[in-house]
Amino acid sequence: MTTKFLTMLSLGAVSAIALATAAHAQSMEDLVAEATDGEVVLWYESSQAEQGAQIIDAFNESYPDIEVEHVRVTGGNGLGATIIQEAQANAETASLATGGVSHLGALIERDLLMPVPEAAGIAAELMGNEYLVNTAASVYVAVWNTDAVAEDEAPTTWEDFLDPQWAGRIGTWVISAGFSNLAAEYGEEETRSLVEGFAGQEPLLYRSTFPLAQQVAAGEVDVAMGIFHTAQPPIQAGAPIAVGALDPTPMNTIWSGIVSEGANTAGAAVFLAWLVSPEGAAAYEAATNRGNAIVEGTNTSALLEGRTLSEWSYDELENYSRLMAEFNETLAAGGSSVE
Amino acid sequence: MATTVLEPTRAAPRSNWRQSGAWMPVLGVGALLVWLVVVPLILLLISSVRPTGFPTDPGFTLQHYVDTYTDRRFWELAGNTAIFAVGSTLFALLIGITLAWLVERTDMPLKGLVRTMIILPMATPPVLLAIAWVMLLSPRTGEINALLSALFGFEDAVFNIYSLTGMIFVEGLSLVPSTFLILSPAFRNMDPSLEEAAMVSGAGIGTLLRRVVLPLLTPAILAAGVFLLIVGFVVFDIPGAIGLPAGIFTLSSRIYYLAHENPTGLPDFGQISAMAIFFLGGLILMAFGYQHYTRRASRFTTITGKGFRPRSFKLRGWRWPAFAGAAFYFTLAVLAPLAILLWTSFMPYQTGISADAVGLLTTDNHETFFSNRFAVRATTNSVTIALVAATVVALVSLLVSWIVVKSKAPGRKVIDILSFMPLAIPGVLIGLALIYVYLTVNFLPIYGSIWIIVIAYITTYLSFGSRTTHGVMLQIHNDLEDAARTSGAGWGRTMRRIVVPLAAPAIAAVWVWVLAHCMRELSSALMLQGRTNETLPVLLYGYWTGGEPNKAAAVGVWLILALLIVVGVWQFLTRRREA
Repeated sequence: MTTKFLTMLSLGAVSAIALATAAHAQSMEDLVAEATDGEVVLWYESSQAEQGAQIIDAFNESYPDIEVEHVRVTGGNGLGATIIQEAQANAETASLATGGVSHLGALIERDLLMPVPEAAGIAAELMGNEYLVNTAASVYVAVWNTDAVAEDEAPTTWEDFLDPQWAGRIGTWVISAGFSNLAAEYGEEETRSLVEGFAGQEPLLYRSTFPLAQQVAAGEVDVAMGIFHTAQPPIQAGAPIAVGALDPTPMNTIWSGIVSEGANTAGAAVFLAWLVSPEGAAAYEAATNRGNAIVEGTNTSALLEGRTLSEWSYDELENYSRLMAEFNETLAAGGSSVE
Repeated sequence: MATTVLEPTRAAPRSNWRQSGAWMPVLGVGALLVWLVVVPLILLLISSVRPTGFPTDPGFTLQHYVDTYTDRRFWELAGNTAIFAVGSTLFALLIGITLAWLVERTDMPLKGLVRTMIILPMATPPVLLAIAWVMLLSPRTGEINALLSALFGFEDAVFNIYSLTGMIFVEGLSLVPSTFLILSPAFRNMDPSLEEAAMVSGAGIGTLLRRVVLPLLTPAILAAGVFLLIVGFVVFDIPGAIGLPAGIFTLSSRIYYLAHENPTGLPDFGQISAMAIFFLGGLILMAFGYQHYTRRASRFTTITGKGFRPRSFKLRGWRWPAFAGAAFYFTLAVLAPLAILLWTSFMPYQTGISADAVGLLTTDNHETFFSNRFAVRATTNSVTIALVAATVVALVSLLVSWIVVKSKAPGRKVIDILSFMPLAIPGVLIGLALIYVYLTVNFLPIYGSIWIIVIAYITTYLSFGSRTTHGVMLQIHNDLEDAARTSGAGWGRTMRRIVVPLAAPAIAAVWVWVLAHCMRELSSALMLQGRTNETLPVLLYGYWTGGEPNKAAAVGVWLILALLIVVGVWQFLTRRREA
C-alpha cells in the first residue's frame, strides 16, 4: 500500500515537473533540449503501424534525438477511454493524442490535456483553442464509380444525391458525422430535409468510409457520400472511382493535444509543431492520405481552396453531437427499407 | 462386447474427491475462475451503475438500466437478434449434426478430407467471410446471382444477402465448424451396437436418428445449442458486415455503436454493461436448464469398462450421395468464399471475377505482407498467444468438466456457470475489465503485453472448451474411474490413464478450435493493444479499416494456410492414434 502510494506520489511529481517545464520553456530550443533528455514520446493515433512509423522516420530526419513511438488506437472513442483509464491508474500513457474533437474534448473535460506551450510556435490559425492543434482533416466528398456513372451525371450539389436515379445505388457511412457538420453552413432544417431525402434513397450504410470506397470501386454502390482520404487507396490502386468536393464542404478536423500525464510533454510539443509544419503535414498526408486543410502545399488544402468549409466549432460541440445522433436514426430507418 | 446404457440405471457413486486428492485441482480451478470471471463481472456490475460508465469514476445511478430497458428500440433489436440467433443456431445444428454423424459414425468416403474441410473456415476472419459472401450473393454484383442470371435468364437477383435470412445463412455456415467440433467427439464415443440393434429391429435411418442417435447425444446437442444461441446474441462481425449496410440492426450493432461511435466521444460503458446483464440473465437461465436436463448423467453414458469398440455405420448405397451432400456444403461454405478471398488477395482493389480483371492480377498484397516489418512481430505474437491460450483452455476445460460432471465437490454448479458466463460478456467489456484489473494489479505487470491478451482469450474461450468436454465426460461411465481407484490409482493417475485418453478427441477438438479462434480474434486484441502486442488480426484489421481489403485478404489466406497445416497434423496424429 505504502509502495503504491509512494509510486503514485512520485509519478505525480514527475508529471507535474514535466508539465511545468514544458509549459514554461522559453523557446523551441529549450523544448528540444528537454525532449531529447526525456523518455519516449508515445503518440496515440489511429493510422496503421507502418504509416505511423513512416511519419516518425520523417520526423527523425529533422530531430534524430527525440524518440517517438506510434501506438495505434482505433475506433475513435477508444482514444479517450484508453488515456482516461491509464491516467486513472497512474500508468504510462500517451504524451500526444490525435483524434476527433469529441474524443479530445472528453480529455479536456477531465483536465487530461495541457495547454500547448507557446514556445512550440504553432500558428494561431491552427489552434482550435489553447489545447487543440489542427493536424489534418476528414473532408466529405461525393464518390462515384466511373464505369457506372458518366462524368456529367456525377453529383455536383448536395441536392443531386436526391435524384431518383440513385435510389438503391447509393451509399454512405452509417455515422452521419458529415451531415452533422454540413448543417453548420447548409442550415439545420435544410440538412435535416437532405438527410431524410437521402435516407429515402435506400442507401447502403457502411461501418467506415474505407470499405464504402472499396464498395464503390467494386460496383456495389454507384455513388456515395464518402471521405476524400479514404477514397485514395482504391484510386491509387487504379480502381474506377472518382471524387468531387461539393459546396459547402463538410469536414471533421483531426486535432492533436498534449496529454498532461504523458512522460515527455516537451517531446510531444516538438513533434506536434513539426506535424503541422509544411514538411510534417506533407509527411503525414503522404503516409495517411489525410491532409491539413490549412497548411499550404497539401493536397487537401488544394482541394478545399475557394470552398466554403462547414464544421461546428469546439464551442458548438453540442450541436454536432445532437444532430449526429438524430441523423444516425434517420439514416438507419432509411437503410432498413433495403430489406 | 460393450455394455451400453440407454435407460436410467443406478449411477455409480461420484468420485470421492476429498480422499482421492482431487481437492487441489478443485480449489485451483475455483480460484482461477474467480480471478478470470468474477473479477471482470464485478467490474461490469460497477460500470453499469457509474454515471460515466468508468468503474473508478465516482457516483451511483440506475439510469443506464432505465435507459436501456425502457427503450422501445432495445426490445425491437432484441427481437431482431432473437430471430437471428435462433435461426442461425438451428441452421448450424442441422448441418453440424448431419456432418458429425456422417464423418464420425458412417463409412462415408474421404472422411479425413471432409473433416479437414469442415474445420478450415474457422481460420477465416469473419469479416473477410462476410465480405466474400457479399461478393457472392449481393443483388447487384454477387457472382452467384450473376451466374444464375446468365444460366437461367433471371431478370432479378435470385438471392439478396442484405436480409435477415442472408445473415442467418452466413452466420449459420460460419458456426458449423464449432457445432461439428462440439458434437463430433460425442458421436465418436457412441457405441454402434445401439444403431445395429435398431437396424436389426427394422428401424430405418429416420427412426434410427430420432429414437437412438439424437436421445443419446442430447447433452452434447444442448451444449452446442446453448453455446450457439449466446454467440448469435453477441456476435458482431456478420451483423456488422451484412446487416448494418441494409439497416438491419441487432443488439451487437448497438453495442458496437455505443462503444465506438457514441457521439460524446467516449464509449458508453454504462449502457453496454446494462445490456450485458440482459445477455448474462439469458445465459444463466439456459445454463440452469442444461444442468436440470443433464442432472441424471448416467442416462447418457455410453463408454463403459466392458469392451467399448467404435465401429462405422454402413451407408451402403448412400455412401457417395452422402459425400456429395457434404461436398455441396464445402462448396457453399468453404470453396466459394475461399475462392473469392484468394481472388481478392491477388487484386489491387476490390473487384468481381471477370476476364477483364485477370490483367490486374498482382502479387503485391502478398509481398507487402511479407515485407511488412511489423508482420513478423504480429505473427510471433499471434502464434504464442494461440498456443498458450489453447493449451490452458483445453486443460482447464477438462478439469472443469471433471469437477462438474464427475466429482462431488461443493460448488461444482457454480464452477459450471462461471466457466460458461464469459460467453455472454461482449469482448469490449472483457477488454475494459482486464485493462482496469491489470493497470491496478502491480504484481502482475502484463498490461500492454501479449499475456493480457492470453488471459482475455482463456476467459472468453473457456465456455466453448467446457461445453465440449462436458458432453464427453457425461459419456464416460463412473465404473472406469472406480476400477482405477480400486486398483490403487490416485486421482492424478486415474486422470492421466483413464479420463484423458478417453476424452482426448474432445481435448484435441478444443485445442484446435481455441487455437484457430485466437489466431483470428479481433475485439479483445484491439481493445488491449499496446506498444508491442499487436496480433495478426489487428494487422489485418489495420489493412481492412485502412481501405486495403486486398491486403487483408492476403493475410487471411496465409492465416488459413497456417491453420491447414495445424489441422493436417492433428488429423495425421488422430489417424495414427486410431490405427
